[in-house]
Amino acid sequence: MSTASAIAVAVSETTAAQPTFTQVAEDHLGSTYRYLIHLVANRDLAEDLTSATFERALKDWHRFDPQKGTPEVWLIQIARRVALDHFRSEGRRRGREETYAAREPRVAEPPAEPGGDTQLRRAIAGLTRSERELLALRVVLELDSKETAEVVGGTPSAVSSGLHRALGKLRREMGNRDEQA
Amino acid sequence: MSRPEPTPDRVDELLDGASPAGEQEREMASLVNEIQGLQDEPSPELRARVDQIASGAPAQGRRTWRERFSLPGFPALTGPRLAIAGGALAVVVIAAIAVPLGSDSDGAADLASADATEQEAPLGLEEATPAPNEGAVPRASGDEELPLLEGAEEPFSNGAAKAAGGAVAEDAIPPGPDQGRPQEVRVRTAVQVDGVDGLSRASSQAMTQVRELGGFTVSSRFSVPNSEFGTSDLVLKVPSERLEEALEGFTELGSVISQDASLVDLGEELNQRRVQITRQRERLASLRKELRENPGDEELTRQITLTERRLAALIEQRKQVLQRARMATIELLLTTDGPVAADEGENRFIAAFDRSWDRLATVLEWAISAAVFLVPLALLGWLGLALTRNLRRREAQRLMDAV
Repeated sequence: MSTASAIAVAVSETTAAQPTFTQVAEDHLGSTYRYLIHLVANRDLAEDLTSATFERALKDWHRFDPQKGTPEVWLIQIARRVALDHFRSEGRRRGREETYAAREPRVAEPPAEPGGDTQLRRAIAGLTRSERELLALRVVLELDSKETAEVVGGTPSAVSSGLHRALGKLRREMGNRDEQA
Repeated sequence: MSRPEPTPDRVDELLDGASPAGEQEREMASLVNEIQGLQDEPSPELRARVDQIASGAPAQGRRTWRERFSLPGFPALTGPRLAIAGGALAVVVIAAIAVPLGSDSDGAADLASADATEQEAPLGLEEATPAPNEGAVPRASGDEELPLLEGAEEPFSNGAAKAAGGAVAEDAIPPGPDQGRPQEVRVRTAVQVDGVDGLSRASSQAMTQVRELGGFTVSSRFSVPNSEFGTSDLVLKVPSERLEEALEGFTELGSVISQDASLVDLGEELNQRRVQITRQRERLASLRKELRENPGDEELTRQITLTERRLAALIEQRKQVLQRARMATIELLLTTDGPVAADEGENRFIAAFDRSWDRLATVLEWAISAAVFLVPLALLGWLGLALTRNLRRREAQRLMDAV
């Protein structure tokens, strides 16, 4: 192999190892959105957070190192940070509203959208955010325990325990609803 | 009999594709399938928004630092290669720091030698030995003041000072390797002689030679610890212009095993003395003028006496400096041992090794000082960072525990 062709191969390998942002966005939009919709249990909010995730991902794209992890896990980690930022600002907003509401006559709030109209969606909406997150990562996106632990910042065994707890809770909730029906 | 509820590990196995066994596991698998069957696809509007965001991305992401530092066709710097490259870089940086530091310390040593500038160099006899003084006395700075000393305008009233001044006036500054400046020549030489008997004979012969050349012996130390080995350390003074003859004479004592010389520039010191003497002379003239106007003033008489003493002392000091320039110093080591007994500084490799260690020690000293200063700061920073991260993790956990 000549030097020129060796360099060409090396350059093409480098290019192949580093996907373009457009490719990553196209391939992982669905998984990012599914993660967020399970986490926030609200379709409109999930869409807003998804676009915010890709905006931040574009800004941080130069930091992405394919040797450190897959684009999907990297995007999910960004989505998680975006969602946490949203929860923080939402908490502050609610705090302000509660302070205001204490001085004003209380108005009944509309029930939160559970994320869909099926029984399963309602049951999922009843889980905590961390439980919904584990379901999204392990069941919906089918990440393995190690990748899930990388996203949530825990250990694979903690992920397994949390998922076991979430599924058990979901089963009981579904069972109760079946009995009520 | 139904199997118990699946354990967390079993749930992992089911999710990883294991076949469910028992009613509980089948229920679990069914629930998982149901969750996976939920149709949560992004809307066309979201796709359009994300496409718009992605359209602003560069064609190719920024290359990682490893790719940036790797040449096409060459392996990336990872693992041992990265460690080797880092080590080489560290050595280069330390060497770059150490070499100037070493130079600085040499410079500091030069400065430490008061008002003299020392030039050390291995010296050949021709180089070390001044040309015979044939009356062509160089007009060095020290000489320029001679007319002042001989000036009749203010003759010395002090006889000793007058005598000293006369002696100084007669002194000629010996020419050194630098003909234009007065210099003190110091030669260290080691000569191997045959046996302890020869040592005593050689010592006497060296002292005699020096005396014949107009010099003298400053000190002598003779040591014979056993019948096999002995040394004789002699410090000798010879007129600079006859140094070459003296060194040639020493070659007859035995084998010269080492020799080096140093030159100390005395020009600056002589200049200082000249300025001081001029000031004292001016002061003396002024005081005498005042005394002529006010004869019998005891205070003026006392000050004149003091100034004359100071002037005499300065002239004596200057004479000593000129004496140092006129007389070369020879440190002669006579030994029965071989070259091992020679001056250790002669061994260039050992000297270079010693200098390297000194520089390394200096660098380590700097590194330790920096570490003492930076480590507590780094520790505080690390603690602060750990605390912040812990707080953020707890807050995230609290947010995620909400329904």
